Amino acid sequence: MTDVQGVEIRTAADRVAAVLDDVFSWLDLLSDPLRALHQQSQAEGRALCADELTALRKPIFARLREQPKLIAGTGVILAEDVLADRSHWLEWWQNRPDGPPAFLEVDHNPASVGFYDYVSAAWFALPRRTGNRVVVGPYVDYSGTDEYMLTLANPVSCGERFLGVAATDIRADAFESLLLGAVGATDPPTALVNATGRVVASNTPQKIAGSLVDEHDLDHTWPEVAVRVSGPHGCAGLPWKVSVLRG
Amino acid sequence: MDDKGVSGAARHAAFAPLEDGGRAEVVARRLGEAIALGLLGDGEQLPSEADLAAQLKVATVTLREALSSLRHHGLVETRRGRGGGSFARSPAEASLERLRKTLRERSVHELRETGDQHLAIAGTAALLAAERAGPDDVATLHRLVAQLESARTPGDRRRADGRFHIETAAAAQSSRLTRQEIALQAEIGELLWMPSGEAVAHKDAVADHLAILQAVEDGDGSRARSIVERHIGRGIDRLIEFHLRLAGA
Repeated sequence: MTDVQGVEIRTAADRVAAVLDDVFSWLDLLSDPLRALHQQSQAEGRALCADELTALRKPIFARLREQPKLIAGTGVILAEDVLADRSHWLEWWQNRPDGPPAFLEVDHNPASVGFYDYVSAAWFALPRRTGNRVVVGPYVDYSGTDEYMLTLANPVSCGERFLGVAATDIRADAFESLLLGAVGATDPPTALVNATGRVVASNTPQKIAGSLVDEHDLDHTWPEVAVRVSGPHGCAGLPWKVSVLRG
Repeated sequence: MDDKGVSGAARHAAFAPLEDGGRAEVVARRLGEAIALGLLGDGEQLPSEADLAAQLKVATVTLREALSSLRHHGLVETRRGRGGGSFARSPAEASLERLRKTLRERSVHELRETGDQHLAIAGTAALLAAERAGPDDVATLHRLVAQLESARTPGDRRRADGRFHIETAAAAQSSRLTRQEIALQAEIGELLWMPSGEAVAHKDAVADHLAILQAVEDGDGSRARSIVERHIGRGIDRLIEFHLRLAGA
């Protein structure tokens, strides 16, 4: 191992961490107006309505425009007892390559085989149960966006009451250029691996995004470098690591 | 064909001798399917127990057991006394007539094409899932096998069955295979789980899913693929058989 290569791997991990940090600070920003809308309706002695969530569109659109490549979609997903007129709802917008953001239409009918059962999705259930933010994926988001995706989610609560999550989708592909920006394709085979051992991105065809790696796949002459996110709270689904694989 | 006027050929098929052993369960399934398919119309009287047992080549006691199970599921009604006997009762589900029509009108070739495509998609999904499924995927699949096992209504069974195959494709980490699996489930899911006319018997479907999951957990892709292929082939063969029975009636 040369120092230069060790530095490259650290750089890759830091870049990934910077992206995760940036998304989580956006999710904090997005949580505030949802909480405020809820508090305001409570003060008026009523529950929030789905169409009042349109107030979140301005910041959401601005964020999508800012990060057209990285962010596939973002928005809020509501717990079942929050809105007066909907028990299953999301205010979710997707970036489109040409043109304005698109509202995500999903199947809200629980009897349908394509029902978007977000309440049992890890990115909803984990923040609800633990109160912590979470990184989930990569996974096939078949009832939502139909893509190979990572989801970062923050619980949004008002006092004791869980309102839902603020979340962002990032295409798994986006991490490839982040990794390759620091670790070249001719460097030792290197992979960004999530907490369950699944490859998020790599510089080698031997273990591509979506495949699993275990201890036997690692080149132990190199240290594994953890992706360190900042902030006072824990984050489920981490640590991710940048690891060098056996050639 | 309408529900009342059933041809002699269809009746003949419903009451043809059973080759695969004289178990009450098999008898009940055969008669239940004929009622679900409308080959035995609503209100139609079945032959006497002795005649029916003779036609099916099963013991009278076996036939009684089968009729009792059909009564329990509301597919047969037995009236005592003059003008009594056992009568077919069509399941109440509104979807049934539509599904019969679909099955009657879809050609053998179309059903076979759907089956071929499903073999390709679900077989490859299982192969890759064995390589790529993580512990969370395996946990989801276990939950769906349990869900299928405890599902009682045709709709719940169809959903649990479909979700298992869709989640297998998702465990393969493939968006395209998952999309195609969803489209295939939308196309044939309801046909595979017709009320009282399940293409693959519920407990066999559960056993198949469990075997697929076991192979995925063992990381044995070729075994996972071959079990899925057998499972899907079974379902399509039965749909083709249903179609032929309906078309010939």
